[in-house]
Parts: sequence; C-alpha cells; structure tokens
Amino acid sequence: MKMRKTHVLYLLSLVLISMLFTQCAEVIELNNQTSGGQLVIAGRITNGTMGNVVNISRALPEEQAPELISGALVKVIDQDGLEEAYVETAPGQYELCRDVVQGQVGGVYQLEVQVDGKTYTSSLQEMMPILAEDELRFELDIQDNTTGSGTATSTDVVRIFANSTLNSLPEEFYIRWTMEESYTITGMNLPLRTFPRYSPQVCYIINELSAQEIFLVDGTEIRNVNLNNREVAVRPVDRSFSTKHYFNIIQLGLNRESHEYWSKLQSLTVRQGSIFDTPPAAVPGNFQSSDPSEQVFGFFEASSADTTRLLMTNNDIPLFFLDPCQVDQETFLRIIRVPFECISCLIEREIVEAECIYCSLLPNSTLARPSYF
Amino acid sequence: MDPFLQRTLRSVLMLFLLLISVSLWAQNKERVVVGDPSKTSTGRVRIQGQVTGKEDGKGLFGATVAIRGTNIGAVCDEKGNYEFTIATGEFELVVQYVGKVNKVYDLRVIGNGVLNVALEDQVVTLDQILIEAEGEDKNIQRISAGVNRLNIKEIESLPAFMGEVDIVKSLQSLPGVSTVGEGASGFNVRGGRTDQNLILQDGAILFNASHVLGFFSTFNPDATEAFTLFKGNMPAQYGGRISSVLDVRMKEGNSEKVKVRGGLGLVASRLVVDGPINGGKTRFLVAGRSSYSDWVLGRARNIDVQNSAARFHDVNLKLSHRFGTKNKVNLSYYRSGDFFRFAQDFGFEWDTDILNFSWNSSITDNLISTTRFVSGVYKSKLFDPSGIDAAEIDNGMKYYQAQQNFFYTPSDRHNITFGADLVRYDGRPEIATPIGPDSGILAERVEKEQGNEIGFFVNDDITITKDLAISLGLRYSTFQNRGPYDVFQYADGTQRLVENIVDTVSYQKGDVIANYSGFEPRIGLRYTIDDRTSLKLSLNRTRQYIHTLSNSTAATPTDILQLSNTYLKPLISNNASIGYFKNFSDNKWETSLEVYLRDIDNLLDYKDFVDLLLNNHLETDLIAGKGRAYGMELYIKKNKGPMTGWLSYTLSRTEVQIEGENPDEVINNGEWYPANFDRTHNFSWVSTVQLRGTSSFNWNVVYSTGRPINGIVTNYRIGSTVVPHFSERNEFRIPDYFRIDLSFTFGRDILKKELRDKLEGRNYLGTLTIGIYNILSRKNAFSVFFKRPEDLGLIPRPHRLTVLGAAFPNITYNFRF
Repeated sequence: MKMRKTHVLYLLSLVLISMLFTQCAEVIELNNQTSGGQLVIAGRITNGTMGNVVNISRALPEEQAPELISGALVKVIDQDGLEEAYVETAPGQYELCRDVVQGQVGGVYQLEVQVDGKTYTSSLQEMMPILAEDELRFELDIQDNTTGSGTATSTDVVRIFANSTLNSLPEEFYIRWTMEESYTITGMNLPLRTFPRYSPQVCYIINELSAQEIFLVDGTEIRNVNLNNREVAVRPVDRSFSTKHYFNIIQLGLNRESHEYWSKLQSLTVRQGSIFDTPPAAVPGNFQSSDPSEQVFGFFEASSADTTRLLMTNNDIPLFFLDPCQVDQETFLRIIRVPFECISCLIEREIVEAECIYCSLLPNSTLARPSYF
Repeated sequence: MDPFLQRTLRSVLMLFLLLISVSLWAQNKERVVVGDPSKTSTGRVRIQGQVTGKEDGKGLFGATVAIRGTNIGAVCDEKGNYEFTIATGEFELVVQYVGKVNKVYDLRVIGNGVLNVALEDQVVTLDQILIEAEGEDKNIQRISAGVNRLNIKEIESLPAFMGEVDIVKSLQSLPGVSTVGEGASGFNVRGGRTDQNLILQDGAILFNASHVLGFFSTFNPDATEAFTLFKGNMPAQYGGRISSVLDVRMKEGNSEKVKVRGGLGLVASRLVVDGPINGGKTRFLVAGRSSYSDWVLGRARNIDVQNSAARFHDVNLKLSHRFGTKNKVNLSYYRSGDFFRFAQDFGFEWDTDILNFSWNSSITDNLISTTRFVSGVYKSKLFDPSGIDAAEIDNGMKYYQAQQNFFYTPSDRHNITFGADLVRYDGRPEIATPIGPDSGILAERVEKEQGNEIGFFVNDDITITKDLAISLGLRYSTFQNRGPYDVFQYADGTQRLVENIVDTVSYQKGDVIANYSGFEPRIGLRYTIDDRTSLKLSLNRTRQYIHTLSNSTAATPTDILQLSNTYLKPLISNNASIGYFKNFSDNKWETSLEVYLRDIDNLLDYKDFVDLLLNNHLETDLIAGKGRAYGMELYIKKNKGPMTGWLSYTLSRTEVQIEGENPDEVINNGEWYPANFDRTHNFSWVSTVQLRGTSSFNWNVVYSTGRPINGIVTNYRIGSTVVPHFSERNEFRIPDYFRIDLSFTFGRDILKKELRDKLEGRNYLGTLTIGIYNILSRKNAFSVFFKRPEDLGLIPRPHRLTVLGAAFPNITYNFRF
C-alpha cells in the first residue's frame, strides 16, 4: 500500500512539473534587437545600354520599406581616369547616360558616391565577357500547395526553363543570371459620352522574377558545355498573359569578387533551414566609407550583359481571364452620372480603382515602351 | 542530546540501514579472515582457492577474484582455481562471474590461506549485474573527479527514442554533458566540441559513434558490458583528445552455454548470440542490429520527408581464447553502416570497419600486460543525385593503432600504469565524382596528409594515507604530419589568402611536414573527510592532433577529419576541476558538486561562408583562437529503494575568442563570444520506479537553455533581392529545450499467476517496453533559421527547425534465453 502511495506521488509530481513547463513553451520570436540606418548602394555598369543603374537607400528596422536617398552625387571612374556622373531618374535611382564612360569588356571601373558629406568608394571592378548562349522554354503545370492550416490548393503556373550553351571554357569564369518578365496593362475604357477626351494608358510592367533565387555558375567547378533544363521561374497564370508576355533572362559575366558576393547572398536567400546549413553571417560589400567606423552595405559590379527573351501570348495559355477592372451594369450607371470628364470623381467616390484608370500606379510600371515590344 | 548517545544511535541506525541495503542488493558481504591467527605473517602472502557454482558445484572458468580498488587479483582456470599474492592487511574482495551473483568479502589477510567461494545463479536478469569492481561508495573513494560510470541496467531503464537503448543518449543525462540537439551527431563535454571526445570501443578509436545522424548510437546495448566517461582527470594512458574519454567495453562470449538475446522494435531489431567453444576455453559473440525505419518517414506529411530514407546496421563479432590462467586473447571485428537520403536533394553514407586484436597477460602476480593492435577505416560520402551539380564526394580516414599497457602493483599503496601507444592516420583523399551525364561537376581529388601520433605514459595511483590519495600521471605525446602532400607557401608578411600563394613545397611519402610534441601532466587528488565525504582536485593538460572540420550547425557524417599540419597547430587544453562528494544513508544517495575550468589554445573557427568541401587550402579559411569553458555541475543519484535514478544540473559557459591580425580574421571584434553549443542551464532528471520483479516505470525529463545562433538585425534590398543582415556571431539564442519521455517495462510478473507458474523455471525471459518519447509533443527547436514566409512575404522571418516535433510512441520486445 505504501509503495502504491509513493508511486502516485511520483507520478503526480511528474505531471505537475510537465504542466509547469508546458505553459511556457512554443516561443519562436527571438529577442530581436533590430537596427538599421546603414547606407545601401547597389550599382552596376554594363557594356550595353541596359542596367547601368545605381540604387541608393538606407536600411530601416525590420518590416519598414527602405528610405530612398535622393540628391546623392554618383560617378563612375574608368581605368583611364574618365568620369561620368549618374543622373537621378527616380527617388534613390541613378542612371548612367554613357556619354563619357561606356562599359567595355576588360575595362576596370570604380564607383564613388557622396551622401551627407561622406564619400563611399567601391573596389575596382573588371568587366568580364559573356560566355554562354541562353534559350528559354516554358511548360504549363498545376502546382499543388498546402497552406499553413493544411488545406491543399492548386494553381495554374507557367514554368520557365533555361538552357545555356557555353561557347568556350576558360579556366576561370563566373556567370549570374537574373530573370524578369514584361507585359502590358491597359487602362480601362470609359464611356466616350462622359469622357470624350479620355485615352486609356498603356503601361509596361517589368518585374524581376525569382529575385531570391540567385542563379550562379562557378566555372572553376562546373565544366559542362551545356547547362540544360534549369528551372528559372515559376509564374502563376493570371490576366497578364492575356496580351504579350515576355520572359527575359539576363546573363551577367562576373569576376571572382562579384561572384563571391552573390554566392554569399545566395547562401542566405535560398536557405531552407536544415541542420547542414552553414551558419549565416553578414555579407560584406565592396564599398568603403570615408568614415572608417561606418558600416555600408551593397556592391558595385562591372558586368557584361546579354538578354534572351521568350514571348508568350494568350494563344499559349488555354485559359480565360476575367478583367478585374471590368464593370457591371450598376457601376456603369454610376460612372456616367459623375460630372463631365471628372476622372478624379470616379476614384474619390470609389467607383473604380485608381490603378484601373492609371495603370502607371501599378508597381514596376512604366509608360516608356521597351524597344522589344 | 548526549554526544555518546548520539553516536550510539547513529551507529545503530547505520547498522540497520546497512542490513537493509545488504538485503536489498542481495549481495553477500561477509567478513573473512585468511591465514592462521596463530602464525601471523608479515609481507606478502599467497591466497588460493576455487570458485564454483553453488548449484552444481562446478568450477567457474573465467571467474574473477579481485581486491577492490587495486589491480591485484586473478582469473580462475578451467577448474575454477585461482591464486595470487598480496601484502597482509584488510581489504575488500570481490568475486564475479557472468550470470552469478557477485560476492563481496571484508577480507583480513594475516597469512597464506585458502578461500573457496560458491556463487549463486543470478536470479534476476543478466544485465542487472553490477559490472564495476567498485564499492557502493565508489564516487567517494575514486581518486579522480569527473568520472561517470553507468551500467547496462541503468541505461536500459531509460526511456529511449523509438525504444532503442542508447549509450550516448544516456550520457547526455549526466552533468557536464550536452548535445546540440536531436539529430546531431556526438556530444559535448564540459565545453568541448564533439571532436574533442576520445570514443573507444574495446580500446579502438571510433570516429563516428552515431547512427541516423545521431538519433541512435553505434553501440549495440546487448553487446555492451559497461562504459566509463572521463570528463575531468583523464588517466595518462588516454590521449589524443582534449575534452573527454568515453571508454566502452564490449562483452565477451559466455563460457558456460550458448545464450541468445535480442530485441524487436518498431524501427530496428537486434540479436546477440554468444557462448563457449572448446569446453569454454574459447568463447564467441555475434551481435547484429539492423533498422527498417523508412516506413516511419513514409508516414510523414511532408512529401520530401516521405521520399527520404534512413537506415543503418552494425555487426560485432568477437572471439576470446584463454591460454592457461594467465593469458587471454581477443579478436574482434566491428562494422557499422549508415545510409541517409533527403528526398532527391542530397544524402550521406558512412561506414566504419574495425579489426581489433588484444592480448592480456598476467606476467607476475602484480604485473599485467595488455597489448592491442587495431586496424580501422572510416568512410563517408556526401551525394547530390540530381541537377547540374549531381556528384558524390568521398572522404574519411584509415588508421592503425598499436598499444602496450602494463599494470604494475608493487604494493597495496601503488597502482602503476605505464606503456606506449601509436596511432597512424592515413587521410583518405577527398574525391568528387560527377553523377550522370547531365552533371557539370568536375571530377576532383584533394589529397590528405598522413600522421603518426605516439604517446608514452606513466600513471601512479598512490594511497598516501587512509584519507589522502593522489594520482600522478605524465604523458608525452609527439605527432608527425607526413607526406605525400603539397604545402602552399604564402608571401612573407601577407595574409593567408589564395591570391598570396607564391610557392608549393611537395613532400614525398614519409617526409616529415610538421612535428609537434609536448608533455601532458595529469594530477588527481582525493582527500576523504569521512567515510561518506571526499574532496577531489584534478589538474591536467591534454593535446589533440586531429580536428574535425564542420561548418554546419551540427556535426555531420561528412565532416572533414584534418590532421595538425604546418598551419593548423595542435589543440592544447588545460583543465582544472574541484569536486565535493558526499553520500547519505549508507550510499543510498550519492551527491556531488563539481566546478571546472578549461582553457584551450589553437581552437579553430571558420571565416564566414567558408566552404570546406574539396578545399585544398583550408588554412586560408580557418582561424585559430582561444577557447574557455567554466561551469558547475550538481549530481544527485539515488541508488536504492523502489525509486532509483539521478538528477543532474549544469550551469556553464563555453566561449571562443578569435582575434587575428587581419579584418576577416577577427570575429565579434575580438571579444569572447559563446560557442554554438553553449547552454547556460542543463537539467536532467532520470528515474525508474521498480514495480514488480522486472517490471518498471521510467521517465526522463530534460531542460536546457537554447543554444546561440546568428540572428537577423535588419534587412536591405539589392535590386529586388531582400538581403537579411545578420548579427555578430552567436548573438541570439534559440528557444529553450524541454522534453519528457516515459516508458513502462513489463516483465513476466504482470502475467496471471497460473501462467507465471507455468513459465517458472524456464530459461526464456521476455520483457515488453512501451514508451513515448517527447510525450508533450513539444516542438523543440534544433535551430532557428530565417526564410521568407510561405505567403511570399519578402522579409525573412525566424522559423523554428524542429527535428522531432511530435510524440514518438515505441514498443520493443526484448528476449533472452
């Protein structure tokens, strides 16, 4: 009897201790002392007219959009001492006109940025050549997903695959590919009787795809001439496929330093969390501040670039898409009752979405027609 | 109270407790006088006799008769006869034989004499025999601090993951021992990394003692006799690792009859057959284990886990032969193999093969020799079966060991161990081989060096007075890194970077590339305050000439074994510990409080983002620094009564300091930072409640502070790529770890009386163990990693990586006959 009583006490104490500890379980948020304020400079010079852009921003604490830095003095200097300033084309975005300095394979370039009285200088970057010929193809597929609550869903997607053929195999070479898509969105039609002078906007949306998946090849390790069937993008099918839809793969020839930089970024962005992961760390860039104690992020690279495109039209997608800006009878009646030519009334009275009229408000939208469209 | 009355009452109480404990242990402890009282001798006298089985009166070949706490003793011949010499005095004599109840005598030797002993059959299970030839107060009397011994019974009672009894897992419940987490190979002892533990199986080095990435250990519990973990003062005969020694002794075959034992579990089964050949002069043991765990993975919800595979096997073969009463040889072969594949993404294979020969010889009554030769190979393979980087990478180590130990007991005050050992390492080249026609991987080969490690040692355990004992040891170790190998030369005054390589020196086979040597003093001191209390001090230096390079969160089977060379210096550790040991209630309760301090030179850490695979210039990516560890260990163990078990708590800190000359050789501005396995608090409570007979209820409660990791302090964008900016090294900690396991073991006792009576007298014994690992289904974090949430948000969020996030029920049937 005494023995049984002892057992009961032991079991009871065990259960009590279990409950005590269980109550403070399930903590996942780390004690994250977030910080920010560091300057971020991401820039490139290429051997073509595209991609000669420098973006300058300041990192802000977690979940806040970066602060774009306007009014900076940005210039590129080549190996001959020639200099040319980048021109600010949008807040925090600076573009090179290529009037004085034109990127060339074999050239060496350095970027200098002045912000708030401090000077930030990049390391010298040599432009390496393009080595591969790329080709894109697509496949239609249905992607199965499981939501966090365990519900199974399926989505129609377009999978884009790249084949690359290396024209030569130097002892050391490095390549990076980026993916983007471009398509048009046209503003909605409005009744001519009320808006006789209205002409719908035609916008070109250019989105970077698979930005978190950095596609790299280290030519010192991979020596195959053909790099085939690499999945480079998975794009859910939507209304953007109802007109011309381009997928562009941009090949960038890297030098060793820029490859190291991108491979470090890659190791941070593609990690899925396994016990075999290399411990993550801060990625040092190639800028030095005139204030040695200041930490500055980002990289300036000199890369030759080549773009290959894949055109898809609505003939390739056997699906019908509803126009989200299409109006019903009731909305139509509300539209024609607004004051004559008062487009702003449509938006203020929430009859139509602003983006349906001004597609230029959509993210990554431009009214400038790309040359290939 | 009157002091005299107090003393008297205490003595009566002690005597009472002693009587109870004696009856509980069923271990006869008689007082015996050997010699003729009328002819008292001085100096050495001869004791002889015969050890027989009480039931059949037959001599027990191989029974041991030993004086506790010394190396004096003898092994019985075919007829059970023994004889040895000893100085006159008072001793404790232990007579042991596998399958029989031990007999312990309070022996008073006054002259030559005969002592015949009859041992009873063990009426409980075979594993319940206490293997150690030490008394119940061993923790008080043992000279060295920081030594933990567990017998198989204690391990078997622990609730085990998937029902597999595990030596390494049970170690982790001891104070000062921790692990990175579930699924991590190895264990950490007193701030040491996993590669700083010397793991010996019958004296042979094991480089990887883990199955299935650390979920199970490679020691078959049915083939294991006992093990000792030296985490403080390592005796001088052990060398080559700086942190600890895990010395695992495997069983020898039974000398009387063939016995079979085994277990059937949900994921693995095991079988051991052992017995005599040639009338018992030769004994054999065959043990095997194999898993069939893929079905568990197949039931996972995650498709990747469903398509994964994990399996293992191990085999122990052992032949023992006695030549007369003074010589014994053992020949054993051990093999273990593992296969792990994660979906179609990557996988590992690792194998160990060891051939082990040993010869024990009793040269004189007080001089015993042990000679050992070992040939081993550890092979590991990492493979990526798909994509343009489909390839497999092989590496590993071949090694040979030769060891000569002498145990000399010139008097009852000295136990001297001396000898020498040699380990030859032949690093297997790292070879990358492309898989399939689509692979763009370049076939590559990175050569590895060879090395010879030689140690000479002497150790004397000296009993100075009844209360004071000291263990003085000295080891001299020397290591030669040898070719063939190409050593890069870097421009003078420049940083070790690939671009600064100016020359290559090629060493031919046998050429000495680098040479290191040094003394390793080992000092242990014990002062016995009273019969139940002692104070111990340990001071020692250890050196290590082989490093396991691993730049992942946890040690993996494919970690690179790297010898000390021109650029990578040996690890040198200075270790100190002091402990207070006290037993209560006639050794019913054991307690200890130990404080330790360790500093390590030439500790290696890694530059950020280092890739160690196929790297022939590791010196450019590794940085040497300092390590330090300090902590306090509390241990409370209950040895007797219906409930037994232990509670351990460790408060500790393990830190690293890296301050190289160049900016990328400095970590955390040269400040001390916590090692990635540092756990401030580590608590473990292991208990068994004996129900009826062999039935028991067991539990295991584990709590530890989360280990350090690098965390995100901010994010920024490069183009559209969101880049997390990580903190300085190990600035954050993952959530704390907590787990409870329960198990019930049911023996024959739970059966109805009629059935019990029917089975009575049968040799067959079966037990059923039902348990639940992680009964709270707690999703303990192995690590925290950062990735974008599933809803395609761009900002990486901390995600908990849980290896075993559910309750794992298990059922195992163990049998023996």
